[in-house]
Amino acid sequence: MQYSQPYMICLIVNQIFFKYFNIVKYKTLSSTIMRKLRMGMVGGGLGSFMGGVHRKASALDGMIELVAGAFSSTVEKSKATGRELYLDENRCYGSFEEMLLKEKELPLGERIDFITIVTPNHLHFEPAKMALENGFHVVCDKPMTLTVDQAKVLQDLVKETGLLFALTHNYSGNAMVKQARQMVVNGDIGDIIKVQAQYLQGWMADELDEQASIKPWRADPKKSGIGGSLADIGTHAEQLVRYVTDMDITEIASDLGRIGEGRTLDNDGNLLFRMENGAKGILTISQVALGEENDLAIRVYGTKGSIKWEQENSTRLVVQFKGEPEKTFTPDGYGIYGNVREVSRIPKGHPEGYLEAFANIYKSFATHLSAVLQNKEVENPDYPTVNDGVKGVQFIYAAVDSDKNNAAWKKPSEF
Amino acid sequence: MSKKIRLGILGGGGDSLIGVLHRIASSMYDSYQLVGGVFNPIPEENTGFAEKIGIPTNRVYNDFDTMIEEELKLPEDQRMQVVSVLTPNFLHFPMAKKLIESGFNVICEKPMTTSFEEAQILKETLDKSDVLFAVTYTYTGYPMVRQMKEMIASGVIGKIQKVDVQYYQGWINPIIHDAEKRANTWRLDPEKGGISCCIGDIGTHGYDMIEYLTGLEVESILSDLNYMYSDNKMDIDGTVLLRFSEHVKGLLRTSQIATGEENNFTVSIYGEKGGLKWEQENPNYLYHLTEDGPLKVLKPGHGYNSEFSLDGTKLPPGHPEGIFDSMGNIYKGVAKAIRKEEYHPGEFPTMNDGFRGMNFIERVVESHQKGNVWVKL
Repeated sequence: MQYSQPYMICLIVNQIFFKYFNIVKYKTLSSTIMRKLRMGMVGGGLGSFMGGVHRKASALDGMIELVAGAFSSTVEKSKATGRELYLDENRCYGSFEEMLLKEKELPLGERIDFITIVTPNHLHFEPAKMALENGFHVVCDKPMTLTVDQAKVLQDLVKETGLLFALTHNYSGNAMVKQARQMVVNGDIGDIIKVQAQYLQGWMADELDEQASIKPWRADPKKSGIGGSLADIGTHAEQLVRYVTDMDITEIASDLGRIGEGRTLDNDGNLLFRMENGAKGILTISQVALGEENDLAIRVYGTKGSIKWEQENSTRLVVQFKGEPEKTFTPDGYGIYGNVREVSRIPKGHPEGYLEAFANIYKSFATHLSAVLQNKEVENPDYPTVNDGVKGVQFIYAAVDSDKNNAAWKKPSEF
Repeated sequence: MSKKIRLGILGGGGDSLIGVLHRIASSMYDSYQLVGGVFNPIPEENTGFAEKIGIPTNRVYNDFDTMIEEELKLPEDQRMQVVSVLTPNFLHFPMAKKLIESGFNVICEKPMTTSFEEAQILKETLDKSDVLFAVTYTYTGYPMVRQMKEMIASGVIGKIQKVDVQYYQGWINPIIHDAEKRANTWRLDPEKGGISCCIGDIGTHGYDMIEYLTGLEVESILSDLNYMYSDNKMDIDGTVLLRFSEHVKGLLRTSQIATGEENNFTVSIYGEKGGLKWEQENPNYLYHLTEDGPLKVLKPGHGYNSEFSLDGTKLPPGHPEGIFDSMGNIYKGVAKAIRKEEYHPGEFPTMNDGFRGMNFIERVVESHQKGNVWVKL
């Protein structure tokens, strides 16, 4: 039984209406998609907060399907997680090594296309390396590795193999962050002269005893790395600064705090930085700024204008041009750039949040990977890569070294 | 953990924004599996869309009658358990009625029907069945809206004395002034949209929210609507005076020609002991006004929030949840009910909300057409 003509006309009129209305198209699947990409997860067993976030973010736009995982350190726990997620038990492995080797034996049409790594910091490098060596693409949580040497090994592998690598600096997935970047790149605010960034949290102020407040692995430099707040949140701020300004940080001077009894890793820091065009910047990070929730924010001042963005109010970009009233841009809002409008899944005034921004990283990666699998190209794929991973770890090392030397200026590129 | 709930969707194909909203929302808590539906009346576009979103096409049907027929042939443990109705307004009633009669749980977009008469029939149909029926008044799913409701219910602001609701959008401004555009917009066509555009589309959100938050019922209304052009049959702007009782009054101001406004839905409720304010475009902040201290801002995820609010918060403080999460909470509530698990009152809007909403729309139009007079709801 067909639908009646009035209904069909209605639907067509609906389409025309939406085009007049300038609603953003549902951009989850471009013409480059041929099938859902198959993902295997490393880490992220039940109870893992970030595991849940990655699962939701990767699935949100319908381009990626979780089909396998080495979710936990034991095969029983891994399978238990798999059962809760309705996965095939045979593809729930006891280790990433097993997953990569077994998946590689599966035919191309079945095996995972890529892995996503959501384990603690010290368990990023080995799975990423092995995946790349065995022909699998990689999505990895930050910080990419514990050491710069490891980061460079991954960078070389990506270069040699041509495989794709995404680093989930999720905050750069926000539409208004992309608007900020586009305005800078287009020269709207002129030459950048000053940058101010912060990433303040206060959760650790409730419990200043290190052993009590954080997971044991985070207090062990062998597992966390040499950075505490630098690794957890500093790298996010560093990547945000580079992404919005489209410039590298060339030097930093850092004064770190280890506030609380017997702290080994930093939980606070004030950093000065210089950028490649001579612009000067300031970055403050903390996990003991009592009352702060997740206050990542950036201000960029140029010769023609300035922009301000705050993560906790992520749908607003405040812009100031000389001689004009202050303006606020919004996702799918009036006056934003076309490529930024496409980031929105829903019309103006309907807030997207943390998960959708995270999903934008996965979406860009998936769009690129789908194109690659069809031997097509994507111009300027927009997601953080292995190069961002190297810079992030170099940043941590430079900041720790500077702090050891009474805030002496250090160049991240020299690490 | 039991298997995922099998979900079917009617409508929501193509560029439909409401389709995006429901699909993503249904996946927020891993409770549902979309197994099929009718996404588009044109068969190739229907199956093409299903392929695009990666669901098998064997349960994608040409029309909803066929869907119901075929699904009923399947054993119960394979059949769709709940169907979301996302089609244009005039199709809600026939689809929902048949779904209820055929034993399917229903999630229905608002406005529930295009007339109060249809709403009454639908309510009677539901009363004779034992399926679940939810109406997606999306904004009630926000954690700070739930917090506001709980605070009012527990008497934090005392006896309510003033209610102010605003729902302003500006998107009809470029359409209404162009004769051809306004003639070709389904929301402005009574046969497709119903008897009201502004009140029917967004006024109902405001009305439902007031009753949801306060627990009070509006007793009578006086409305002044704007149609703008003589050839335009449906209101695009309205101001509605609300009377809850002799000493409890309020205002609903709603517009689709508030040029430049995006989705500016804000609600302020004042009681003897304080006030509460919330804005949809900044949904994670709840403002609490009192006379014994400075303005307070409550945010999701903290211990000072109610259990109902915390239950609708998945992420730690400072990680903003938005509209997809809000709708996700409604879907989560429906999932709990389908699984016969305990759920909070108000965890999802029900037939009663849809029913009262349709009555409200008709009374508002009536009040205006009778010369802006008081009308009892």
